[in-house]
Amino acid sequence: MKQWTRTAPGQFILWLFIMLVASVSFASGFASLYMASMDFYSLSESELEQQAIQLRAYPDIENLTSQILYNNAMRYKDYAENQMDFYDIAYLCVVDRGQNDKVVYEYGDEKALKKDKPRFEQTFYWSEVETATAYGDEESDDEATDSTEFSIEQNSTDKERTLIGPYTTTAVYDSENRFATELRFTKDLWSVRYYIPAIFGMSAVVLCCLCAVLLHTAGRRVGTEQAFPGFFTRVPFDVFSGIMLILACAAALPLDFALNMSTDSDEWLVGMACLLAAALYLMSLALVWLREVVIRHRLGGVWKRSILAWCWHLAGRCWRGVLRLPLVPLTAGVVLLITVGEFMGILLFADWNAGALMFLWFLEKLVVLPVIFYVALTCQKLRTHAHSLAQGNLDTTLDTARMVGALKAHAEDLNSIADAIDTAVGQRTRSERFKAELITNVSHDIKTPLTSIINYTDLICREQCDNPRITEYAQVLHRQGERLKKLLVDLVEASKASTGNLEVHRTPCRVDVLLDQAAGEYEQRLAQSGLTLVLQKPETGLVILADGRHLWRVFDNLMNNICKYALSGTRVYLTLAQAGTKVRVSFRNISRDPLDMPAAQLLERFARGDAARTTEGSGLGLSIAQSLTELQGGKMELSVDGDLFKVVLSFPLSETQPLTPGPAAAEAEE
Amino acid sequence: MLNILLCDDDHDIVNALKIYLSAPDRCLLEAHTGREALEIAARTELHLILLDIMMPEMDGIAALAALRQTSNVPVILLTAKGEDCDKILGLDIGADDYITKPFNPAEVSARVRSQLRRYTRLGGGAPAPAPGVVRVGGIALDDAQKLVTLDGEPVSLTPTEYEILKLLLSSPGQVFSPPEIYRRVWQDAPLGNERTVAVHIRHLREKLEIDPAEPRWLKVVWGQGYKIEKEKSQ
Repeated sequence: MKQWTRTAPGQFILWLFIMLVASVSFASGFASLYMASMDFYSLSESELEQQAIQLRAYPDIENLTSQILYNNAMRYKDYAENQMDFYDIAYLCVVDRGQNDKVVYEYGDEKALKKDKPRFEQTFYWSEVETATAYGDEESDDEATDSTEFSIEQNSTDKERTLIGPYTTTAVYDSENRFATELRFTKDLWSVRYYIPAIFGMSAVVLCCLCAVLLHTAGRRVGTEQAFPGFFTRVPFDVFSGIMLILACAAALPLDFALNMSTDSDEWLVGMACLLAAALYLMSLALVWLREVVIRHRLGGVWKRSILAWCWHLAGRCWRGVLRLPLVPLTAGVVLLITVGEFMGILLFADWNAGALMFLWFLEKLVVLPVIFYVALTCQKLRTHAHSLAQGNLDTTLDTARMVGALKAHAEDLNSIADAIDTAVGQRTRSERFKAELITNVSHDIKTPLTSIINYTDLICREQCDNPRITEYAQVLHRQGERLKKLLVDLVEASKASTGNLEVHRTPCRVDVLLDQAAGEYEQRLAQSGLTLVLQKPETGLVILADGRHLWRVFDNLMNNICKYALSGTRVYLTLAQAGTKVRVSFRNISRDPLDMPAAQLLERFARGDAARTTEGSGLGLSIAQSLTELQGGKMELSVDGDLFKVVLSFPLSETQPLTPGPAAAEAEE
Repeated sequence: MLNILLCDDDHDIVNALKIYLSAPDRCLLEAHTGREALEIAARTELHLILLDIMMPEMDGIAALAALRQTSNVPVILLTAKGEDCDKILGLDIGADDYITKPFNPAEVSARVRSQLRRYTRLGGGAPAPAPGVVRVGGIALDDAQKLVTLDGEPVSLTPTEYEILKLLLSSPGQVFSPPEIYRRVWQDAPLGNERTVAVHIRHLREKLEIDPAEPRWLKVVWGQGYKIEKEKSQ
């Protein structure tokens, strides 16, 4: 069913039904209105009849009576009697109240009247009768002066006493004149007076349903839910609406005719037909228009295809085009425009009216000032955002929704700068992390085969072998394996220290205690190398913020180097001193081999004091020591003076006291 | 007969360990994954396990965790992962010792001997605390007899070393600064002689630790002092 209403025959049938139902609806509607205005609902049938007769007869009777009275009834008696017949008046009498109700004139048969009950009577005083226009012969000018059959002067005060009573009879009702038909029609109508509104109600409901179905199927074709353009959809909406309005005005003519129609029977029917036709016409136009609205709405927007929308888009494009102009020409153009406007304003209004000029000036300021403020505020926003970017706060982005033109472009550039920085920093961090992970993972993978190499070369060394050369070779292998192991450990440590991948827990640390511990650890080895340690430290303890383990590692590396490379039989000086706000630890020793490279080069990774690389050692010791020192906020300085090799570590002095060793310190260590 | 299980996915290392650790009173079993190790542990009574961490199917940590639910057998973790956090994790899970690869074969042998001694002489579970005897790890100090044993074997210490050890053992986990140790042991003010404390500690460490460079119990808190590591109750 739903699909069928969308087909062409279905639509046609729908329209047909709508027309029919609308006709019924409108007709019953108008009828109800008519009945309501004629008091059909408040009067009884007889009252209605009286009213109908009164409405009908009264003007006629009035007309006739005035004609009789003012136009010399005698002279025009025949004429008058014809008139009375024409007007269906059965009996007319004129009664003089002043003369004891003497009937001074009468027409018709009173007795005949008495036979039937009078259907209508209206008595009125002569004074109430309006002066009628002269009827009949206009050449005669003695109508007013001729005496009438009853001698009442026109200006006589007896007018007040004179009663005129026309009567009609049932004959009126029975005869086939137009009044009788109308009375019959009125009575019939009265008898169905409650059905008509009911019909109107039901038909109105059905009409609404049908219209709803029509509108629902607007633009829909069989089988799909997609909307299709209608017949008029190509026309812009406002043009279309305008045409509809003009067409609607064409209905004004019959409407006007219908509303101003007289109550003459023929005209009345024509008038009704016109009214109905006009109503149906207007309804059809309205439905077509609504249908178009629905179709357009389904296709994406009622105003989408209209001249107004087109103008709007054009204005928008112009506006955007203007904004896209470079800033300087744009500003120049705006200033020029304002200046010209002011000039024109002054030219035009200066002579006339200072008030108007002031008003225009005020108007201009009203427009210009917000723009200036907007520009100032936006610049301020841009500036604060750029400042926060410079501080390193890359998280926030600028909201560019309210900005236009060059300002918006600038804001977007700032946002993309922040993004670019973010990405670059992220990439850098990732690559650093990748490098560190690479080294640790690779070192794990190297350690496993290295273990087997060391184990089996060790086993070879233990085997009793006749060939001493095998043992010798095995020892070389073992030695190199150990060296490889040391190198691997140092490499991992160096990479972690330099990429900052180590965990550094800086706590207040007593450097003098550490120095003592280091000296104690190395005492035996120093003695074995033939070195004498001279430890110089102040009386009071010195505290720095450092990670104990890493600091020990630095001292360890440096002491290790001393043991390996110092000249036997010399002294080694370990000095701890405070210099201002810094704590300085210096390691001095005499080098066994000549140092033939500058100090800075020694610090580089894999640089060995012995350029021939014959002694053991990985070359990473100093580099690791430097990285670890810097990680803890200190500085390491190397200086070579002849054979004197000097390393100075400097750390900022810490104000906080270290935790006194005890359970609390144990907790911290855990 | 002591049953020792060697578990590593690298066959060469297992073979080398077999050669190093073979002894007439030991029976060496081998496994190559965590799962195999658990199966063998369920079947046989073991006295020591050498366990690698990075293995397919079930890694060492998971195997150790499963094992510790039912057994108290000593476990030495043997692995290339040598970071501090890895060591702490392994020991927390329930290992008794930790050796990093590449290892010194002599060190491995020494640690194995130490663990076996501890297990067989002192029993499988935690030994009953005898009065007057302080125990941490394998170190036991009997004040009544002035005797110090390491895994049951006596260790000869100088009187000063003995006093220092006794002081440190009096509260395991507490850090003692060198001046304090000097005051308590020498009964005198340090006056710049703290270095002797460091020297004595080093001697102690060499006597009590299998690898003095990586001490298990007698630890240096650099910049602050020395302590005996508190034993984690299992």
